Amino acid sequence: MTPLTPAVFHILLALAAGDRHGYGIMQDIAEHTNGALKMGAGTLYGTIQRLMDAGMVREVESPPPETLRDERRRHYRLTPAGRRALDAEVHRLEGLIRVARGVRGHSRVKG
Amino acid sequence: MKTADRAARLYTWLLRLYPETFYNQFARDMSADFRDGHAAARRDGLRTRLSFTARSYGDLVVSLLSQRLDTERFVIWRMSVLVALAIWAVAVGVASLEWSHGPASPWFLMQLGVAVTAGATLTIAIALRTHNPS
Repeated sequence: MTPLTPAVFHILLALAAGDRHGYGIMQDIAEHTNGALKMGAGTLYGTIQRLMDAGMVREVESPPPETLRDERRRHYRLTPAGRRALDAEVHRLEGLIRVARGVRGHSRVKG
Repeated sequence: MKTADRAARLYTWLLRLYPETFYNQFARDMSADFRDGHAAARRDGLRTRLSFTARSYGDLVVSLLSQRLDTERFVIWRMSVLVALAIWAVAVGVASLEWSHGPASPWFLMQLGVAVTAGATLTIAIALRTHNPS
C-alpha cells in the first residue's frame, strides 16, 4: 500500500478522535506535532476534498452537540475506509520503527 | 479600518480566485479559520501574527495554483495538443511551399522528417502525460 502523505495522515488522525471542523483539525495537528506542523487552510481543505472524493472522509449532516460545535463551519467524519487507511499506515510506521530500533540496537552492540 | 480587518478582507477576497466548486464548498470555513487564527496569533504578539499571516497567504497561493491546475487540466491538455499540432502544420506547410518550387533537396527532406516526427512525438507525449498525470 502507498504510504499516506503527512497531510493526509494527520487529518485522518485528528478525525479518528471524533468529528471535527477544519479549524479543529488544524489545532489538533499543531498539538499532535508540538507546533512543528501548522497546516494552512488551503492545504487542509484541498486534502479534505481529495479524501472525500476517495471516500475516506465525509461531511457530517448535523454537528456534534459538544464544545467543538460551531454553526459557521462544516464538520467532517472519518469513514470506515478512512479508518482502514489510517490503521494500515500506523501498522506500516510501527514496522518501520521496529526495523529502525533493531538497526540502531545492532550498531550500538557492534560499536 | 484595523489591520486585522484588512488582512481578513483581503484573504476573503482572494478566496474568490479558487475554482467555483471549491469556493462554494470551503470559502466560508477558510475565511472563518483565517479570522480565528489571526485573532489567536494576535494574542501571542506581533511576531506570531506576522508569521501566521505570511504562512496563510503563502499557503493560499500554493493551494490556489494547485486547485486551478487540477481544474484546468483538460484545458491545458487541449491547448498543449493544439500548439503541438500547430507546429506540425507549419512544418508541413513550409514543406509543401518548398515542393511547389521544384524537387526538394535531401537535406530539406531530412529536416522535414525531423520536424514532423518531433511534432507527432510531442503531441503523443503531451496526450499521454496529461491524461495519465500520476
